[in-house]
Amino acid sequence: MSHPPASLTRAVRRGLAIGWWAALFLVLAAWILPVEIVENWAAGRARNDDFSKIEAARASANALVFLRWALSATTLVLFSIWLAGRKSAPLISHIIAECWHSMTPVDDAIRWRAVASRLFLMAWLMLAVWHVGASVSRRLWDWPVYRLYDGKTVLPNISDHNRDVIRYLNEATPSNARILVLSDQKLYFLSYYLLPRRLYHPMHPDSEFVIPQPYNQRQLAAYRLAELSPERIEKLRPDYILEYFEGEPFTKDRNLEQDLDWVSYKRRRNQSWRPQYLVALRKYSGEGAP
Amino acid sequence: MTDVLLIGLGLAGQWCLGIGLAIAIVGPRLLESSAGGARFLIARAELIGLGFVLGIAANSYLQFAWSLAGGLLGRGCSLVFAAGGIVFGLTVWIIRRRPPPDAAIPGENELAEGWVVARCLAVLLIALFLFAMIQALLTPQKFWDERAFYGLKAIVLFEDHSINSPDLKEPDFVQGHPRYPLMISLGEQHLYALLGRVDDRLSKVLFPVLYLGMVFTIAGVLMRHLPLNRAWLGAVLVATIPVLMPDDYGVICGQADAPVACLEGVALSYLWDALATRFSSLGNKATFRASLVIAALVTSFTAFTKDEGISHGAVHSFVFMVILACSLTVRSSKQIKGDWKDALIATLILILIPAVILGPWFIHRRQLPLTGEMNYFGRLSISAIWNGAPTLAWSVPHLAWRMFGEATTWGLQWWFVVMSVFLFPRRALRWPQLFLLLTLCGDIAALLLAGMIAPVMLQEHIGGSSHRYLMQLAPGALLLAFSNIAWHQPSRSIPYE
Repeated sequence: MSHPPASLTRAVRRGLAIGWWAALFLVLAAWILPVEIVENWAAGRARNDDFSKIEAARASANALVFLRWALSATTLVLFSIWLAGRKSAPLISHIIAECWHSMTPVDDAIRWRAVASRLFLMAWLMLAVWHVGASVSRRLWDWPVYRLYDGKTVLPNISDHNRDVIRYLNEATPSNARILVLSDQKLYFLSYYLLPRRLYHPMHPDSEFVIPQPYNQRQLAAYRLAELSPERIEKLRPDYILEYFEGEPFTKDRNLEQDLDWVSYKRRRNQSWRPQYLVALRKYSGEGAP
Repeated sequence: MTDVLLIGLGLAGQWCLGIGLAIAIVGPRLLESSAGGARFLIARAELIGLGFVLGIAANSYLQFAWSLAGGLLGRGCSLVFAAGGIVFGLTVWIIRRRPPPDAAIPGENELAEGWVVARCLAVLLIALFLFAMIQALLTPQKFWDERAFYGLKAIVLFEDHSINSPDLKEPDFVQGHPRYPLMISLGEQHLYALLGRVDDRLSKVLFPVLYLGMVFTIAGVLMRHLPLNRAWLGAVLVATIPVLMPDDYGVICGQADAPVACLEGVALSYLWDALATRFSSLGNKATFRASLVIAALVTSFTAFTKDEGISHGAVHSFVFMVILACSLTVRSSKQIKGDWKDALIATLILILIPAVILGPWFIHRRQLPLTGEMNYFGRLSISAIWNGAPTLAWSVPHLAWRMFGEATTWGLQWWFVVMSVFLFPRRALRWPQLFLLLTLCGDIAALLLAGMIAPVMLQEHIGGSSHRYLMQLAPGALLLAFSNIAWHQPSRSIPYE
């Protein structure tokens, strides 16, 4: 095995020393950090209901305990590597030197090409380390919300209105229900989270290739129930018909409180809740007519 | 714990299936090491990587074929596939296992030196894989595509036990892109069936595993042309493309762009390998054909993963055949003039294998609804292209900014390509490098063409998806750039390891 430069080996030894001292500092900070601070932070990140806040706080406290032990183990490993500096530093510096020289043939007569390639390699690896760190911070940020639950429990990354409709339908319909939905929303997430229920939504041709925007910034065209023929409805054999409209063209002049079960569901948490959009679920009588 | 065992069984079955396929393709002669003349010496890392890449894709495809023939999907089916994959892989391995290495292996000092670095970088790659896996498992599926296009179908397949589910064929059933290929959906369904329930966090294990497969495969391919330490360094660079890992839209989510990137990266590696071997002084026909067969197989699976795979496959197959034809007509003292029979066989392999594999899918797909489908091929016409030409005024600058101006977000691979061509222009004009360069240009042209004819608002369509499309091309771009810079005259067969 060829010997790397002595300066590189010394630099690696110093790097290992800095690394394990930094890890030791982080470990001490993790052990000293009061759990209450983490719990309060997590509760602030969670959704705005008591259950979510308590869950987030508890999960984050558990995560802090795990993190403490993981950091302690990592520090121990780094300390061992530093202690074994006589063997580990030459090996690490040998790897660095080999990778460095790998970027161009060592006999390349045009030196600036080798320099440019190696500088690029450095930039690449620094960017990779940056992205790894950013990814870790994203996961820490997400942890109070997602924990280790599957999507059906968390209902991630969808609007609060969609979330409410999904939870309402989960309560109000059996798991094998076929639901015909008239809506000015894209219903993919409803369909995904309500399975094994099956959702059917006659797509208006003017909405087929329109990408929706958050908070109804773009109104989509949609069929109203009266615009569907009885034959089309009957062909789908729905058990329920749901009208779910958020846009003003579809909600004006409509009684938004016509579904008393929906209103009752929403007022369980907030007695003074007033509907801003239409959700009306009813059983389908099977006659082919709305 | 039971979940871990069941998922482990599923992955083991897929891996063994893939290894069996790889060994069956490469053949017993090509696993021998011998003095004088190159052989398709498949490194252990490459075999492991191919096992995952071919295994995951082939498992989904075989379940598709099974269901198309009337078989039921479900736990029983998945258990049989898992066990069958293990039996198949072990059987092929036992029948065609490699003999021990002979004296043709390079001297021990050289071997030890290269291998220390290679092994350390391999350990780093495994650490990156574990990091990706932890990241993937820490979040449920939360993006639009992964739920609306693939996850939804996976759950329907799990519940209805068939690709012929009436709801998948119902135009009004709420699903995104009804005609999208089923590789990912069937892969997720396979895990749901083994688990006995839907858990869209656990099904994401497939994606980091595909990533590991790609990285190891590329390491193995590079080992045939570069010194060991460089080959593994190239694999580390592929593994650290930011948009691929650890960006949230990369291998840690359930969208199809990362799998397409992995599969397309592997396909391009083998086509590049075929050309590099063909035009080297150590080239041989068996190696050339084995690489082509693997490339054609992986190309088919890419098209079975996402529709962009069709365009990628068409572009790289066409460019490959053009490069091959040109190389046979150009006289050069440095290049071997192959015979036209080889070119014909190459063409047949690249056309027939995808046709056989994708034919049943395209026939089945015709029964599926067109709701929300872009239907690019149906919209393609001279007049549509002419009318869409003004979109280039927006989309070309947008793509250039994405590739070069947002490099700190999506990765430096495009700057790397430019730099490598600038630093080593003559190398960039070698046939294998030219193949990669023209393929990337063709793929980017395909994206611009899609923007010209799509029925969606251009800025939202291309603007919202260009980074993901470019992700699919990133491994190929890195392979081009790295091989340009690190090119080394092959002087020996790779050692058995």
